[in-house]
Amino acid sequence: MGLLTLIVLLPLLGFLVNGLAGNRLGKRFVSVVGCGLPAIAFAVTVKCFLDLQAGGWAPLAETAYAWAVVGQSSFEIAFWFDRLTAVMALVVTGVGTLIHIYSIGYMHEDKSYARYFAYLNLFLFFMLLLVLGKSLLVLFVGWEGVGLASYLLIGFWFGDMEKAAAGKKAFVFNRIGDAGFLLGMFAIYSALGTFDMPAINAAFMGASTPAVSASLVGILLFIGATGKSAQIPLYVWLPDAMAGPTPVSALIHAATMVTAGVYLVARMSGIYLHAPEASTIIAAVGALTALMAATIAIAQDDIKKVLAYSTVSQLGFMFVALGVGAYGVAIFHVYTHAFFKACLFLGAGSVIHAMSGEQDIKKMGGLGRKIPITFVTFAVATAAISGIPPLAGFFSKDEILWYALASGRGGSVLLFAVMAFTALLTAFYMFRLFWLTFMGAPRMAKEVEHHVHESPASMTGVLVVLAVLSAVGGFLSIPHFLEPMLPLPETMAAMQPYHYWVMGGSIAIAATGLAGAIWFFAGDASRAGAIRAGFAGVYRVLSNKYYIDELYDRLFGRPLVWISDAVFLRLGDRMIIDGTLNGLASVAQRAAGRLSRVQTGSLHKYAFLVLVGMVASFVWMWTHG
Amino acid sequence: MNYLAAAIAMAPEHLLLAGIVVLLILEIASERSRAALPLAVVFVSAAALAAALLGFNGWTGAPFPGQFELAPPAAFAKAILLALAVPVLLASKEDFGEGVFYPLMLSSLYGVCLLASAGSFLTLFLGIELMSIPVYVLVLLGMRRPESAEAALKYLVLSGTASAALLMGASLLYGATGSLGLSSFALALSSPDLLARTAVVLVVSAFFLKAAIVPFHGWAPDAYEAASVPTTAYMAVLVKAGVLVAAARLFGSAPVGELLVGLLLVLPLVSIVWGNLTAMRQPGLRRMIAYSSIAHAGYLFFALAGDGPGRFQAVVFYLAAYGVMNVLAFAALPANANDVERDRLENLKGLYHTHPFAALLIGMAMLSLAGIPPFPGFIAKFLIFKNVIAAGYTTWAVLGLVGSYIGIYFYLRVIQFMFMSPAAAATGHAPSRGLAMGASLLCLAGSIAIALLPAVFLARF
Amino acid sequence: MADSTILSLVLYLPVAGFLAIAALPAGRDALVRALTLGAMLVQFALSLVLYAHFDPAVPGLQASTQVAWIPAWGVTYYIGLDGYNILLVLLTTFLGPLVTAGAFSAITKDVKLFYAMVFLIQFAMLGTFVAQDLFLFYLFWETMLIPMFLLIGIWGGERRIYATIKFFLYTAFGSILMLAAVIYLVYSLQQTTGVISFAFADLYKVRLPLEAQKWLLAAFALSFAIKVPMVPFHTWLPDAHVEAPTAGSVILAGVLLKMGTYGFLKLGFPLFPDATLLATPILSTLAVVSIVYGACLALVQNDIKKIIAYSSISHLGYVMLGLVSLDLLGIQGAIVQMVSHGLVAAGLFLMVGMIYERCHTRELAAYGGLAKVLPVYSVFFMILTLASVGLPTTSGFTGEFLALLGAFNAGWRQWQGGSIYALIVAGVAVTGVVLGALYMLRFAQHFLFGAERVPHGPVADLNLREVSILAALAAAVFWLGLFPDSAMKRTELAAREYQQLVSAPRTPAPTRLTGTPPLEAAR
Repeated sequence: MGLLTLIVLLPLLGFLVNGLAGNRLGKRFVSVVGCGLPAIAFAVTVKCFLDLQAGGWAPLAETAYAWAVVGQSSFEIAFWFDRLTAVMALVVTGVGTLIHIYSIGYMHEDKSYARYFAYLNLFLFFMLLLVLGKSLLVLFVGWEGVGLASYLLIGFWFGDMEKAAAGKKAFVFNRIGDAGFLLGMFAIYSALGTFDMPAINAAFMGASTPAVSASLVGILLFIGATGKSAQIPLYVWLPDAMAGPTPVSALIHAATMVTAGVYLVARMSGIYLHAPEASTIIAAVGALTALMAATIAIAQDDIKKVLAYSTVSQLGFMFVALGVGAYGVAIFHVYTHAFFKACLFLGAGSVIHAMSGEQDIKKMGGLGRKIPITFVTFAVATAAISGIPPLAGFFSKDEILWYALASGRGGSVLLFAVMAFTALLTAFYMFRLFWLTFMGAPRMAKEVEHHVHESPASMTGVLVVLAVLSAVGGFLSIPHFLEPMLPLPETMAAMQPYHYWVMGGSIAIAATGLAGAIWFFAGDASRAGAIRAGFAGVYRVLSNKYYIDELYDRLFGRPLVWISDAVFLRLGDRMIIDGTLNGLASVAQRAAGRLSRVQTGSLHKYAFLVLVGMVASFVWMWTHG
Repeated sequence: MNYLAAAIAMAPEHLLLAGIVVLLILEIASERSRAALPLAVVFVSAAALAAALLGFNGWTGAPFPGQFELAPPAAFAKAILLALAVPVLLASKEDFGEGVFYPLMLSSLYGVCLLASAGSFLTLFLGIELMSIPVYVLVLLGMRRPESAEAALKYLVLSGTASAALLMGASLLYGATGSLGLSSFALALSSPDLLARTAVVLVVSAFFLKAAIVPFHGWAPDAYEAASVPTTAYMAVLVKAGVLVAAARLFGSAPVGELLVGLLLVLPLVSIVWGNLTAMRQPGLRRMIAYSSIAHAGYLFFALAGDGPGRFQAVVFYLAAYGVMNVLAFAALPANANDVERDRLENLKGLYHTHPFAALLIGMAMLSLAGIPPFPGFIAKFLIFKNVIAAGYTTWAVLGLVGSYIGIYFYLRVIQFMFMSPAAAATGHAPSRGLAMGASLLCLAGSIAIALLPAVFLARF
Repeated sequence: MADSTILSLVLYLPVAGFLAIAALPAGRDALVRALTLGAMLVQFALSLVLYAHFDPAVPGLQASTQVAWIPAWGVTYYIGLDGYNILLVLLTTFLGPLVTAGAFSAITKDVKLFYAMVFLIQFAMLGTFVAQDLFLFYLFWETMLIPMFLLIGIWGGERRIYATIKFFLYTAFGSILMLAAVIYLVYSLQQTTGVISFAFADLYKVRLPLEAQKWLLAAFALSFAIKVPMVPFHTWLPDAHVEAPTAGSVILAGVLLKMGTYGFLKLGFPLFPDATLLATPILSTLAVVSIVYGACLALVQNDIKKIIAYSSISHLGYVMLGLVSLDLLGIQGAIVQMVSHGLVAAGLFLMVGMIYERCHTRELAAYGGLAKVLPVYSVFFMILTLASVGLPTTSGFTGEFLALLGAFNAGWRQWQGGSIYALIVAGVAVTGVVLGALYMLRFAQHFLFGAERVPHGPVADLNLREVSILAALAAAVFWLGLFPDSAMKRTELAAREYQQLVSAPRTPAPTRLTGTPPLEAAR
């Protein structure tokens, strides 16, 4: 069994052990298995990375087994490890392991501790299938699998219906995306007769263009991406997904799973390079999502909801990058985002832990002194996401802004403007969150307040590591590393002079956001209150997320149920079909009644019948022929 | 003419005759003799055996040329019909302690045998009357109930009409063809001559009457219901059989034109639908079987629409399959002091829990009559419709099959009552006696044989 | 022992069992149960041997037995294994023991008769699959109705009589027309080739005029479509399922419905290729309608049995879609989907039965939070739910994915040929993936999650017997999901033959049939 297969199987092993035997073996054992195996997986990934390097960056490939062989077409479970995979796999296993460790502390009180780690490992297994898969099929298996894991983990505390509903919502919206994904796969297969991604890219890059429009396929696959990566119109599930345990939100709904869509597009860049229309759509959707989510984030008071919308918004940034052909940059942002967003979520987790379950930032404030480590790490991450140099977020975001403006593949001033404004909002709502949580006067109830405490080392340690990573992570230029396989788009000459302006601008934007937040929320946040009062209507719309959920329910949810119930069930099944059949049956019954009434027992009648019969026969005989 | 030949060829008939004589003597000699039933059984089985032997030896000939002919198919037909009579006899123990039943039944059987080898309208007529008249009496003394008398009268009158029509037809045929041979009928079938065609209509409607085809069926339900169970079984199986065997002989392998097929199939089709529909509403098993037998008569006439050579085979095979299951149903029916209560469907409710074996047998019989595989009824029906389609009357076949579909429901209803309903309160059913049990086992064996090895039977015709 | 002998053993073991327990005196229920389970297990073991011995490389029949039966009609007793039926035989014998064991606690009334019927239906179903002679096929096909009629009618629920009569009459109607078609077909064979035979292999050679093909296909298709069932011939199914005892539902969903799709695969389409090609748009449309319609109806049911019943309609839609696609992937997918649905639906019905035995209600609203109360139960329920949703690594995925891919491929080819309809149909079919998730997760959500609601609680979690039943099913589900190849290898040649038989139409003979074709006879 090759190393790549090993990477994938290790978490699966963890799932099986903890899932089947976990509870009997005690928390210590569960933690060791649950965190140990991902750690080993990380180590093996590093090993593979070194092999890759040693091999002059020639992709590693290995085939586990043939899943199905039908005629000429053979569907293999095969793995593929190149620069892109390396980045993703390292992030997934690395951050994944960290979050596993964090969970030890976070979930310690939970009675279904083993189940939790089993699910987490299961997620890791599928996520690695997704990133390591050589063919779209394997990728899809992982793709669906992570959806399942997320479903199970969102509904982890199935005690209340809310969480279960959130899990179902996530699964279903992902499924909608997957339908598009499937169609995309089918189209590719019908045209090229293979799911092998390197082959597909090659086919599209090749001289003879395949018998399928790249844009069609591109868009179909992107529909899948919008589901998994929470883009318009399918993003609505992600905020609700916060119902799950916080480390889960950090791992699945911030750092790794939701970036799968980005990975998919980058991985299939061969298609998108020849699909200008698709790329434009991606950029547009990305920008719109980024902006919309950012505006919503401003008006949220649930610490995790804010982060959720910020995630949606950041994913929007990534898609913009993809849309303008800067695939490496998108992955760069995936990478930095993984660090600081994980850090933020885990920080939030630590806060919630400290606040004994409280999530409303209105009821927080002044936590800075009480939980210093969380405070500092959160500060770093916030600065990073806001794009304060020289933190990680700055580099990736700056590059996105630059290519949004200058890329020869659809960069434009408008796009830049939107993204710049969104960046501003980002800085603003992040610092708002930061300020309301850690600064100012405490607003929480007394007993909660004196109960506030810093989290155990297993949690804070992870926070520190992630904080460091989000601080220095940006110095490792992923785009440059990926360039050999994902070349950056050439920039428009006209824009060259503005490169440094953009950089300066993005710094200014971050600063402005910071300042604005402080100005609004310093002290008792009275100014913010004033604004809120001033724009009550706008605020309501924002805090209600533009009423999108309600809209969907009206447009799709209810009509579907109505048609199924009223039209299909009552009209179709009961009235038309069964109605007809029962009608026929009763006709037969009535006929039976009629006919048996002929049998009166009177001889005359019988004789008469006989006569009729004979006469009729005669008439027939004589008339015919 | 050759007396020996006559003696051999008519061995079955002779045995029956002997049986009749012996039984009569016995009757006169002693009231209520125990020996009647066994004797009757012995003679009938002997007759059946004789017929079978004749068949196996391939005895062919006409001891009374033009009147009485015998060929293996006919012989086997006799064998089968006589064999069918045995379980009927056995099952009659409860109802007919006294012997008078047996001579009557044997003489009726004699008629049946004559029909199977009738060569001319004279023999035919003789056979039919010989077969029918005792049955009037049987119906009459079925039960001491006013209905029986009335029903017997209806039967007598309408049946008489049939005889009249037959005679009339025969004489017209004689006029048209100058012969009373059955072959003259075959000629008439294809003759444009008005006289001949009228004769054909008369003869056919006579057979319709005897076989209770709608609208000539009026007598059947009343007679079947009024008669006691074994008599009903006898009528439903053997009388019908006699009539149809005769019809098959009559039509021989004469080509039936498009036009005549219309005449020949319309009314049977109607009676299939009519019988199957009406049976749904019947309260008692006998009355239900009456209607079902009306429907089955319909299928049987369909057999005559098939191509010539296959007709006799199809008819006899169908009669065997249908008969054995019909007798089975009646034989398995648990005895009851009150004959009216005995077959009320209401009283069959929950029968499986009181008489599981009887319930299973009746259930099988019902499914077989409904033509559901793997029971003989299906194979027989298959044969008939196969012939009809092969003859090119696909649409007729489809209509007939759909008609038979309508029938499934009421057969299922019986099963539903027996297996799926809570047991009816005090039905007064007595555990069925050894003889009846024997009879039903006989039928069961027969039906299994037919279902598993139809080829063996088919090869004989 | 020769494979043909083993096959006969597999086929007749139920009959032996039937006679054996019939011979037992009443009241020996425990013995009856043990005996039945034993026989079923042996049968399964034997059919495993057959599966192992089955050579994927050999086209046509294996382990076959042919004996002249009614020479005059060209009817032979002819059974054998081939790629078409090998998996279904395995499925049937696999479900046998599970059904038997599943009914141990549920059936306490007329135990003897019950297991006798189970044996009988097992025999009839296996016969239908292994029969290689149309007459024999029809015999088994119809015989199957009787035990099912009694199973539903005797051990069923409130409206069992209505349900069972509806079931019988619905199916019988199709069969009656099929009977006429069968006779006509064989007769035509005799007319055109001079051979009189009911053997499938011979019938494949018939060259019928298109006109006749249309009528015959219609007759066959009606009969099979009712059995599948395809919308709009499906309304017997919900009633039958709801009223049937668990064992009945399991057999019904597990195997019986497959007889319909098997009929299309083995007879309906290959016998009448020209008509089939002509009718493909209609058939594929019906298939997709079934997928969507069934899913939508499953979405609004409150009786948990009905949810699964309607989901069956939806899932078998994929099978039909795959079959009519005439794309090798689609056909293979369809075959796998048959088995997969057999496992999943059977499992779900068994689980419904288990909960029903505990809580005595099938009202979805009555349940909630079972995950807390019955953890083991919930795990298995989740697995089956996900399989039904078609999640990768489960059998459901293998079937649905390949069937859809095949349909799409076919559609794509036709699109290149200028007609986009098939492509659209395939596209619409994909929405079934979403709907499937909708109704199954709605089910799971109200069933497992939320506040604890357990009627007649507190109840015990699954016992060893139940766990082993479900474990076996789960194992099969994952086997077919992760390693479908060993199974698909065995069906590949059959799939190819089917594809070739249907898509390479035999041109109708110039001379029309003697004897009146169906239409003219009317006048």
